[in-house]
Order: sequence, then C-alpha cells, then structure tokens
Amino acid sequence: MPALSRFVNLFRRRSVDRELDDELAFHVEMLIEKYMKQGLTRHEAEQRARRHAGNTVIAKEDMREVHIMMWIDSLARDLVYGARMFLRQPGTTFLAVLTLSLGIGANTVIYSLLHAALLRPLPFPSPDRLVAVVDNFATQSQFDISPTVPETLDVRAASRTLDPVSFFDTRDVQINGGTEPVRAISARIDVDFLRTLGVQPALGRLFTARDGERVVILSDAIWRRNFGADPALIDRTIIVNAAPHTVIGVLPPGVNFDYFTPEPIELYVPYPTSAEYTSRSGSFSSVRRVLAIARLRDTATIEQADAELRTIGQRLKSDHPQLYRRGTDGQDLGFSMGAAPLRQLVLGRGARTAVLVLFAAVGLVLLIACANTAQFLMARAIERRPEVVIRSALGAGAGRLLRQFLTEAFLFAAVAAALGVLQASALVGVLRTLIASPSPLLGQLGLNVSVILFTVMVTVLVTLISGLFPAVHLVRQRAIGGDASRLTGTTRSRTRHAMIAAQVAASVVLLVAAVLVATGLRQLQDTPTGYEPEGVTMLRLRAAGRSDPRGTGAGYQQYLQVLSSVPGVSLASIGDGPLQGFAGTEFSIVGRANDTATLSLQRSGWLIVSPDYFKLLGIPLRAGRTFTDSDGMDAAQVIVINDVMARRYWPDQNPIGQQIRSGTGPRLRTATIIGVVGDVRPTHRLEVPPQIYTSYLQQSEPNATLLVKTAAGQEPPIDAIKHAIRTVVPEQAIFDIRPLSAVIAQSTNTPRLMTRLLGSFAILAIALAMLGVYTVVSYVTARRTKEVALRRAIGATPNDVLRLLGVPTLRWTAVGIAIGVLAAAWLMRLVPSVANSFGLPQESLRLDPPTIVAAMIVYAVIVGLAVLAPAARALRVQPGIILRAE
Amino acid sequence: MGDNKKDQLQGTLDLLVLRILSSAEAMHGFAIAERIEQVSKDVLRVEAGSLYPALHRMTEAGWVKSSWGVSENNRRARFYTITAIGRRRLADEEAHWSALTSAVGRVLKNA
Repeated sequence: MPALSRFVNLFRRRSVDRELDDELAFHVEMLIEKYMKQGLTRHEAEQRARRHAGNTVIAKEDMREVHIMMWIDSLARDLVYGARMFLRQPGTTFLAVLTLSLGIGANTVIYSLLHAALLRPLPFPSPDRLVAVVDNFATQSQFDISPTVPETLDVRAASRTLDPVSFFDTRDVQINGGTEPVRAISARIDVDFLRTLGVQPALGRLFTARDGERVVILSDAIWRRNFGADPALIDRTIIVNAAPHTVIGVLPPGVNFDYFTPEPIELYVPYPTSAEYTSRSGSFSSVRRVLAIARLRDTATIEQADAELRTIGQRLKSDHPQLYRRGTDGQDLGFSMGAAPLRQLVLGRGARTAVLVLFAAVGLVLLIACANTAQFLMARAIERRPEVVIRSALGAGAGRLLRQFLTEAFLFAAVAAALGVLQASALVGVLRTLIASPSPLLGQLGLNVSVILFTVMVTVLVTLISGLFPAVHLVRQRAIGGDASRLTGTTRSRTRHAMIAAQVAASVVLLVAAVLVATGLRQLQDTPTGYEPEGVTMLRLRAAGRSDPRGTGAGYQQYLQVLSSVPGVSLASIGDGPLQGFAGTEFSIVGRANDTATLSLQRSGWLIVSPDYFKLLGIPLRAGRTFTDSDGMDAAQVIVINDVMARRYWPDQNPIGQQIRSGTGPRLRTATIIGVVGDVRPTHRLEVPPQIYTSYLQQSEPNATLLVKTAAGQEPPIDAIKHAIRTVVPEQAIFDIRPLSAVIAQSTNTPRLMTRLLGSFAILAIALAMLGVYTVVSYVTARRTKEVALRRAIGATPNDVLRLLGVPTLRWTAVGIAIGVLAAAWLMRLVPSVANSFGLPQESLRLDPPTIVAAMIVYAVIVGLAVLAPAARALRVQPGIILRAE
Repeated sequence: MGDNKKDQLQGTLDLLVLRILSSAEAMHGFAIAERIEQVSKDVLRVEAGSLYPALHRMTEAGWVKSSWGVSENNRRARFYTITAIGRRRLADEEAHWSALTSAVGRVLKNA
C-alpha cells in the first residue's frame, strides 16, 4: 500500500535514493550504448548521454518530491481540514472526544496494572530464566506448593536442566546492636540463593559453603536506617535473636525478594545445614516452608525442566514411598514435582485472574466507546456526502478519500488518547491508594513507556475500528449522486442499530458483573459474624530467643497478668483474631471410623487461645465450659469446639466429654471436648467451618496475636501496654498494632476494589451506550423530520410518531439486553475460577433473578428515555414549517 | 498544484506514456522514451528529467505499476506496466485529447 511505503520512504531516504540512482544510471547506460552504436567514442557518448538525460539530480529530487512531499502535504491538509470540520460543531465534538477519552483512559489505567502485575520483568538479570521448583499433590488438590529441603537437595544433585538450584524461607527476628532494638523479617537462604537471583553485594561478599551459621548479610535499607550506612560494619558483630552474628555483606539498594512477606526482607542468614534440616530423618525436614528457586541452564527450556522434575519426583516417590502416602491409611497422595515460572508464584494465581477480568472489562468499555465514535464519525460523514460526491467527481480516488477519513478519525482518536492519558495519570494514583496493601510488583504501578505504547496501539485500533466503518460506507456511496434516501433513510440505519445492540449487550454484561460482585460483597458484609470487634486492638508478638521448656504459653501468661492491671485495658487475651477460616486440620473422633472417606470430610479450623478470648470477642458459650489457666501443660488435654462442629458430628449427642485426635506433626494429640461456643464466621466466607480451640498453655507457638479490649470510645493505651509487656521481657518486639475493625475492613479490600472498579466500568459503559442510543435516535429523527411532518399533516397522532421513530431502536435495544443477559449467564461458569481472586466466597456470587430483572428494568427505563427524548423533540416542530421549507 | 501550463504538458506526457504502455508488455523507462521518439519520428524527445518523475507520479496514482527485472542486455532495470485504472484513464485522456484537437482543428480551418 503506497501510504505505508511512503511513510517508510521518509525514514529510508537512502534506499529510495539508491533505487532512483539505479534507474537513472540504467537510463544513462542505455543512452551511451545507443550513441556508441551510432559510431561515437565512449567518451563522446557519455558526454552526450549526460546532456541528453538532463540533470539527474533534479530528476531525483523531483521524484522524491513525488514520494514524500505529496504525502506530507496531503496529510497536513487532511489534518487541518479535519480539525476545521470538527471545530465546526465544538460541543458535539467535545462530548464525543470526552467519551472516547474515558474509554482510553480506563484502558490505560488497567493496562498499567496489568503491566506491573504480569508483564514487567522481575528486577533480576535474565528473569525469564528463573523458575520455581514446586510439588503437587493431585489427590489433595494442592498445586505449586513448597518442596521440602531434602527434595530440593535431591533436585540439585540430579538436575541437568537447572543450575544453580537454591531455596530460602523467612521468619521474623529481633536485631540488637544497631541504633535501637528492632524486629525485622529475615531470610534464611541457601548458600547459592543470591547467586541464583544474580545479585552482587554492594559491600563485602556473599555466603560461601565455609561460612558457619553466625554470619549475616544486610539489606541496604536496614544498613542505612539502623547502622548509619557505616562501611566499616563489615566483619563487625550484631545480635540476631540473642546470638552474635558477623556482618559479611550489604546488598545494593533496591535488591529485595520480598514477594512472599508482608514487609521487606532486611537481613539474610545462612539456611541451617545440619541433618535436622537436610536429611529425611531430620525433625524439620518434612516442613514445607521453603521456596525453591533455580535458574534454567542456557540450553534448557522450562518444559524440559518440568519434564525432568517430573522424572525426579517419580524416582523420589519410589525411593521413599512412605513419604508420599498418607500416614493413616497409606492412600497415594498423587505426588509429582514440576517447574513453574517464578513470576507465576510471585504473583499468585488469584491476582492474575483478577487483573485479566478487569482488563476484559475495560476492553468491553473501549468497544462501546469505539461504537460511539463510529456513530459520531458516521453522522459527520453523512453530512458530508455532498462534499464527497464533488470531490470524487473532481478525481479523488477511493484510496484518497479513505485516507482522508482515516486521517480525521486518527486525529479524533489521538486527541481523545491524549486526554485519556491525562485522566489515567490522575487515576493511577487513585488506583494505587485503593490497592491498600500493594505487593512489591504493584508498587511499580504507573504510566511508563510501555503503557504509553499500549495507548498508542489502542489509538490506532480505535481509528481502524471506528474510522474504517464510516469511511468505507461513504466511499461506497460516493457514486450515488446527491441524496437519494432523503425521505426514508431507514435501510441504512440497520448498521447503526446493530451497533446499538452490541453496545447494549456489552454494557449489560458489565452491569451484571458489577451487580454480581456488589451483591456478593454486600452479602459478605451483611452476614452476621458472631463476634464483637468494637474496642478490640490486635498486636502481634514473637517470642524471642530460645523457647521456654514449658512452652511459649508460660511467657504469654505473664504478659496477660501484667496487662490486667494496665488502666484502660478491660480484657486481654492471646489468640489469632477471628480471621482465618481455613478448615485445614484433619481430625478423627475417638471410637468412630477413621477410614479415608470419613477423614477427608473431617476437617476443622484450629486456633490457640487463652481463657478470656471468648469473653473479649463476645463469643457466647453454648454448653460446658471454656478454658481456665488450670488447663495447663500437665493437666488433661482439652479443647473447645464451635456450634457447627457440634451439630455436624454429634447431632443427637452431647459432644461434651467426647475425645478427638487433631493437630499435625508435634501438635498431634488426643483431647477431650469441654465446651461448645458460638459460631464465628471467617471474614472471607459465608459459611462457618467446624472450629477447634485449644489452650495456649497446652500448645506452643512462638508467633502470637495479643487482643486487647478497651472501653467503648477510648483510645487503646498502646504505650502503657508495650511498657507493661517489657517489664516482663525487655527485648520483646511488639508490632503490627491495628484495631480489629480495621483488620476486618482490610480483609474485604479486594472485593471492595473489584466492586468499585467493575461498578465504575459498568456505569461508564451504560452512559456510553445511552449516548449511543441517543445519537442514533437523534440521527434517525433528524433524517425523517420531513416524513414525520408529512405524516402529521395527514393525521398521524404523536403516539404514532413516537412509535415510528422509537420502536426500531427499542426493539434493537431489547435484542441487546437479551444477548447481554444470555452472555452474562454463560459467563457465570467462570465464577468458580474467579471468585477466589475477587476475595469473595463462591457461594456469594450467584445470579439472583430478582436483582438482575430489577437492574434490567432500570436499564430499559434509561434507554427508553434516551430513545424518547429526541423523538419527542420531533413532535414539537410545526409540520407546516418543514413542509414549506421543502 | 503547479502552474497550468506545466500541468497540461505533464498531462500530454502521461497520455503518451500510457498509450505506449497500453500496447506493450512491461517496458523500462529508456524503452518508453525510445519508443516515443521512434513513433513520433524523432519529433517528440523525452528527457529523463521529466519522464521518471512522470512515471513515479503515475505509479503513485495507481495508473502504472513497476517492478524490478532484468533488461534485454542483462542489466537490472525497473519495468512499468499499465493497470486497469491506467487503461480507463487512457481512454478518458484519449477522448479528451481528440475532442480538443478536433476542436482546435475546426477553429483553425473555419475561423
């Protein structure tokens, strides 16, 4: 296509020149040959040929003019002409540009989210070569979970596709020796970990195999914050969890691997190499806490690595059959190993789905906006039919006209895109604050070069979609002299009406999605929780140093004792807030069947609490008793269960006094049920799972949550609480202090964000569709003014006129609504896979027929208004005036 | 674009080139120039400086199309052929031209 090649010519002057040179050189050669045949000498022939050929330079310039100047000239004229045409109707044009800019702006914002989440490479050298080694247990529906350390070491020894293979886990530690005692997130890393990522230290060195366990590498941030950015810190000693460690290195700024921790990792220590951790008989070796990462060798692909890991996994399974079967009954757990792109693990599957859903939603908005733009340009084009007829009579070819209309459409889209980018730059900031706890990936959210490139692509796409339509329509019409369809004009409105139906259908899909998510969120927020969060503050603790032989409970007991005398604190207890609701602990009932089928149905939540937990949260006691401090280490093992568990497993029996076995690993024990308490609904679910509570004095756990209740309307005395606790253990780090109500509110962040975004898109989509309907009916009405006048003159009633003008559009709108609802119903099959990524329970996302019908009625009323308003306007005109004007 | 006289001359050259191409297979620029001279018995001489811009302009307009090939003496040359649009254009121009010349002829004879 000449336009494109001419464009290329602009940038490839030299190659154009060469072609022209070649052609002229050929001409001169031929002349020389001719003259030599006529008997001239070579020299004479050359001279004469030059003269005869004329000035080659001028010829060349002339030709390049033809190539470039004509194009630029006509382009510039098209642009100026287009701008003038648009400015002739500034109001309508502005409205049309504004609507398109909203569509483009929304796309730019969501693309910047998609780019930050899914596309931007991880900040390490050759990030696409980084993979995660994962385990799958198919029969347990567990995929992409952490391998054990012995498994990872076996992979390192056997793999030919991966090198290096490494692993790490994180924990919080307490650091002394800097400007103040701090608690920080540390990573226990395998010796190859930082090398696998491709990280070099800014100061000092990385770990080697000869380092013991008492060495540490610091992040740039903590080195500056807590150690005054002192370069002499290398080889000095700091205290980590009460043990001296030698600082051997500091990482460069910005280097972090904090994708799996709520806070940045501040220091790195070597992963223990003792047999306890690394051999299969070691007591910690079956813990699945590490993340195993590896680099693909230069010659390997991720598919090869995945296949190799599968083979290695099969071998491990046959070497250690007992490890991959269930302990209770020997059931095969469907174990396999595999390789996953590191980014997949970093992002999590849920976020990916949510981002893609949002992207699809703004895509629909953009299509609706494109249809509006096409309608607008089409209306303009039809006004210009006389101009087109004249221009084609004057010799403008179809290609020339098509180009002119596309240029105008591009001008239109480019202005809208510029406006859209302005909106997006403001909205990205809003989105960043709406995403309350951004992952490090989303921290990079913003408008960058590739986002702008995307917007440019969108602009070109919009130009093609919305500009080609009216352009082709017009060019095809240019042969028709004058305005043949002045009186009726019905047939040609079919394309416009089909566009309306598509717009309506797309906006209905978005409306249904928004309503679905909003009602899901409402349902989640309206379902009773079973506890009172008011006045409760959560503080997190981590037992420092070596654990007490009596378990962690004894220490916490002392904390609770001192807190009881702090003024303003009415109650204090240990125990996680009522947030986790994952029924992940299998239990068996003593005296009942414990085969696979039974056990797979017997799962419950599992929580360590102190006696005042229930009273503090207002959870009612239904039967028996709750814990007291005499339910200690040496007393009989006791548990409290919730109502759901009591009713499900002892429907006709008193559960008090029954015994169950529960807990995993070292926590596995048999305990007697002493009480039944009210149900507490986990924040992310509508249904309450069975729940087991166990006494903080009978189970040991270094990480604890302290709940403190203050009288209504009073600020919690945080400083007094910290002070009281530090009278017991001076170096106790206390962190993550938040009101329970804020924690609960935060748990609905994702669904609220999704509701807001989808809701805004739906409103935008409906507004755009409305505008589309309004434009079309206005257009049809305007075209049929004379017909209407004629009909009224011969006795048509206003009703007849409204029916004549409005009914076709209403009919097409109804088709659009029907298609939209059907499409939405069909899309409902995606709910199981997207619900989780929206942070909503699957059961809350149901198409509720009355709600949908109500939404559609509201929608239809709005469309009705958009149809009737312009049609009614036609009635206000006196028929006589129009007919006389003809 | 440009003054009227130049346009008319260009129009004439276009007409000649299209006419030559309409009765031949692909031809390169030199052959077109030679052919015009030959048929006009050396009355009409075509300069490279006006022939090639004309050819390129007509390529842009879609009346002719070009491709690189090998000439009869084994050199690389650009060959031009007339397109369907070009043939229509030629018919228009020919009609226009004969109308014009006969009108001029009538004026000369009868005035």
